[in-house]
Amino acid sequence: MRRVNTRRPSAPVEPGPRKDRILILCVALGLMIVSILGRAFHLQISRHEDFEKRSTGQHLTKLEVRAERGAILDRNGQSLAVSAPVPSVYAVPSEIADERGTTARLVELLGVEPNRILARLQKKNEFAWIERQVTPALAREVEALKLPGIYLANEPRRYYPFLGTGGAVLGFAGLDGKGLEGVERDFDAYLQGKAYVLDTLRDARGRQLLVGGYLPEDQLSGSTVVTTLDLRIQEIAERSLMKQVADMGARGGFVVVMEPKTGDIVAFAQTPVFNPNVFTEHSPGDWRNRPITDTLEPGSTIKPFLVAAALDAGKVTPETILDGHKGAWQFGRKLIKDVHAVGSMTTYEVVQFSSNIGAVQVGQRLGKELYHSYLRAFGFGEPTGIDMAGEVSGAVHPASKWGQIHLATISYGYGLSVTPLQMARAMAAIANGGQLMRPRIVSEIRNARGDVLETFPPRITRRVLSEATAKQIGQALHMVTLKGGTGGRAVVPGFKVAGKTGTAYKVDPLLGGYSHTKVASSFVGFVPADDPRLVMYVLIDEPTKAQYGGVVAAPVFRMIAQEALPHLGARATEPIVAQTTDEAAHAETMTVDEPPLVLEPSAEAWWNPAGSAVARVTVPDLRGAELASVVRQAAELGVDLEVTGAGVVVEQRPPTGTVLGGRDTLVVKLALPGHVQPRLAHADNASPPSEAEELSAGGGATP
Amino acid sequence: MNRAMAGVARLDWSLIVLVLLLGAVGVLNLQSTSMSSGSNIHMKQFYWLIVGAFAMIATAVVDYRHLDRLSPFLYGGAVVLLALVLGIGKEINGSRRWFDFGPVSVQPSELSKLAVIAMLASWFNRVPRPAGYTLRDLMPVAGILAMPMFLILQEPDLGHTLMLMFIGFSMLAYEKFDRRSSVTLLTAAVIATPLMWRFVLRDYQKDRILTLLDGEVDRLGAGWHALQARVAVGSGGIFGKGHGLGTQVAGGFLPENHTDFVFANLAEEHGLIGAGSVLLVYLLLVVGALRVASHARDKFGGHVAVGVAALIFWQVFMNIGMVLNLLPVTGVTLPLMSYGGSSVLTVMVAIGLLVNINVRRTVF
Repeated sequence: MRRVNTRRPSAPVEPGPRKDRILILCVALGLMIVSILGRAFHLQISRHEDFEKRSTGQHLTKLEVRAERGAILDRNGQSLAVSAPVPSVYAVPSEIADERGTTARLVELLGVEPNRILARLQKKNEFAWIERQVTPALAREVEALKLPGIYLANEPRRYYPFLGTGGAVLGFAGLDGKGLEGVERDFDAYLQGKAYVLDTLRDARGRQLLVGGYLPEDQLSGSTVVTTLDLRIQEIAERSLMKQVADMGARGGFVVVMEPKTGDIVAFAQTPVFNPNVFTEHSPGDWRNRPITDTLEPGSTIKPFLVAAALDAGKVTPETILDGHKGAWQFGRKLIKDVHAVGSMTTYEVVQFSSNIGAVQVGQRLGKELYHSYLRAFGFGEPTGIDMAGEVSGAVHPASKWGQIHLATISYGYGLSVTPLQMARAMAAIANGGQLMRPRIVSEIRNARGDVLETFPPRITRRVLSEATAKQIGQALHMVTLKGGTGGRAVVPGFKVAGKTGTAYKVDPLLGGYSHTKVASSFVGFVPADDPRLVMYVLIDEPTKAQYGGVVAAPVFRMIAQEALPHLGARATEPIVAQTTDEAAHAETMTVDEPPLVLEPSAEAWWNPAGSAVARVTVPDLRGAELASVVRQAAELGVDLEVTGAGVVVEQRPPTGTVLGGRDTLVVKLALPGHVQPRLAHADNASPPSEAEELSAGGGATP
Repeated sequence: MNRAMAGVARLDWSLIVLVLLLGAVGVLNLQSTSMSSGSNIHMKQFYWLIVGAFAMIATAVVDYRHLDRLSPFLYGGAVVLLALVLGIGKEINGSRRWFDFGPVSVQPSELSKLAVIAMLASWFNRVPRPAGYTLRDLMPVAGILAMPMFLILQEPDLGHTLMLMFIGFSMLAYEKFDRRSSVTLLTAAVIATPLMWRFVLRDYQKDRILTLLDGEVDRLGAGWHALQARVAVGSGGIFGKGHGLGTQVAGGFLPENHTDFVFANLAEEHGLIGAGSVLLVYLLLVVGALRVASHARDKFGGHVAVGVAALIFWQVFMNIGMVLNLLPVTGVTLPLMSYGGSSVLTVMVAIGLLVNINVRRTVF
């Protein structure tokens, strides 16, 4: 039937046993299939959730992204604090086979601590920071190493383009973008960008692929906080303070500059200068906003408030004649002396000559109850209510605890403690016609597009004095700066100045009483006297070259006012008369150009006191520069800046050499070094070494 | 013509349908794995299936009894190729398994399985022992198996070495043994296992076995494949993530996703339902092969059919067992699902043999 070419016939079929065998094979096969199915069941049903999680965990990463932190501006829109993305190096330790080798390479390049890094890598977590916020140049080198499991991520870094200027007020934000001190902390809720969680797909090499699409960045990024600071005046105040502290061989000092009509803090200067870019290099003591955290005995600077209270309460009039006791008066057990000895004096002259004897008599007429209530009304012994954390209230003891001697000493400023801000605020109440203002540091909050979200209007705390009294005491304070007064050196040529000097002996804890040598020299006043634009409180702590507030502190007032008033557009009202030889000599030294705080050649234009009108400027070559440097240069040029991208500048518009003026905008495009277009590759090397050093100094500060 | 018609009438369509089904599922599954890489591996597999179909038809048409006579030559040729590949084969990942012919690579160990099946079937046919085989009788069988096993182990390719052994044992199981010989054989196997471990297996092979016993021991070395396969399968759940939606393959977590670990992608995307269905199809195919064996008109045909059943079964069992972390990682492909011309051709020719034997079955 079939054509079969086999030579030998096939063996006959043995149906019986074969069928058995087939059955046995089938059973064995069935058992194995069942074991496979059982295993599949176990994996896919019993342990499904485990594996589901594991699978999701390894390919889906929840990437928490914090939108960019808002900027902090000064009252004129200058950026005092900005955020910019900078690269950080991280590891996915589970992908690293050779931990030791990897560590060695990282240590070599980044100078990180070997044991710490090795320990992190050996933990085999999914994520570990290696070094945060490195320079783009370093990031480029890390990238070039192509180490498995080592990656770069962009993190926003906080820059304070003007270095230490206003540093203590601004405070700083930590690496994770959380405000830790100063305005950064107190307005953190506004500044912080909203956190959003991105689902990203991650492949086996750990590369992240964004799943989500477009993000409404400007809705998520933090709000802009507009402070009342005036960068220019802040810088002037710091520079003047530093100079005088150095010249007087003093321990330190503060300056508070306030706008009397609004209570706005225009400048808060203190020593030493705190540079928030490198906050870890400063001791936590430097972070303090000393004008609100430190208290001192006011000394003679309290006298205008005493006299104002007595005038307001009708206990004295400008015509009241007080006994001068020829410069020495035995009051109870206490001998009260005056430097300027007179037989008799008017109420105003108590202020003008800073007479302790007169002040005690005014205090006696006013009485301790009234004096106490006026002191409290001026805001002493209570926090000013400024929106900054850490403010202290100072100490004004209740009148019931005052004895006669207390009333006497408090009348010339001993036996109570005040903060520099309280002094400035109280003086502002005299300057503005009797209203005590709540000091303001932030005027408004804007969103990323610049729309105003919230305003903090100036607030009147209470009326302290009648307008008439305020005018009277203002007159007395003006007399202080006239011939015969103690504050002649505060006079700003062309302006009427009102103010009061103070020289308070400090409590020496070793002596258990007042020191005979250590003084706090101060001056508090306002200018112009008729239409006050600025109130200033200056304190120089423990000067060694001179002691009197009129010699030590008053010149700082003048230095600041002299530069600040033209900046504010205030016009000179008084003829600029020839000054006394002493003052002229002093003025001479004062007019010598001060070295600016920021030693940057192009900074001259910016610091030029006459340069309040925006000059026409030439655009420099910014290519290759880091963002911090760009922001600073743009600020110096007085042009608006528009930034896209991250890294170093690869493109700028308009090009180098273009002349800009007014409110022109400079547009720069940044790119990470790795992504620089070839035609601009040279720009990588264009970055001047000084910037690189500066940035590495900043980067090195990361803990 | 009449005879040809009669042959077509006697065709076992169920085997052909099962094969086509597996081939189609295999192509679709490869299409999913190639989505992420943008390759067209599934199309290449499709072309191989067409070539395989012709090979299957050719194998089915020519009477299988010619194979009985030709088997020593086939076997000899396979051994020569296995020896040659050790010398002139292309080295990939530290092993020489392939002849490189430009666009096509040929894996002689795949083809050698058929040669061994034919050779053993032929031997059992020529040396009948109605009273049962004794150990002494089986010495040639051991020789027939040992030669190619030794050569394949040199490549090295543990998977195919084991495949030959399992196929041989399965074909032996189809025969009747002398009782004493059975006991001796079992004892020998028990003693041989530790010796194999000590002297035969290489370190990486031992690693794979150790990995199986403790999947977490080395998550990035030998355990990586196993772990990722387990994660893929486990995360699939009952219904799977959906076609083309698997993340283990797309994310590059699962290596060898189109060859040895192709089943993991199937299980991830189609869940227990999909994996179980495919397993059922394989089971039907093996049962079909055994049915062919039981109806074979002669001893040679029966043994070849059992050999083919064993070939399919063991390959499925070892591959899926490996993917499910039930067995160590060995490079055994999943018939008709894994990408690879040699593998597809071998399986298609084997199915062709089944069809051939079935068409010429005894009719009662």
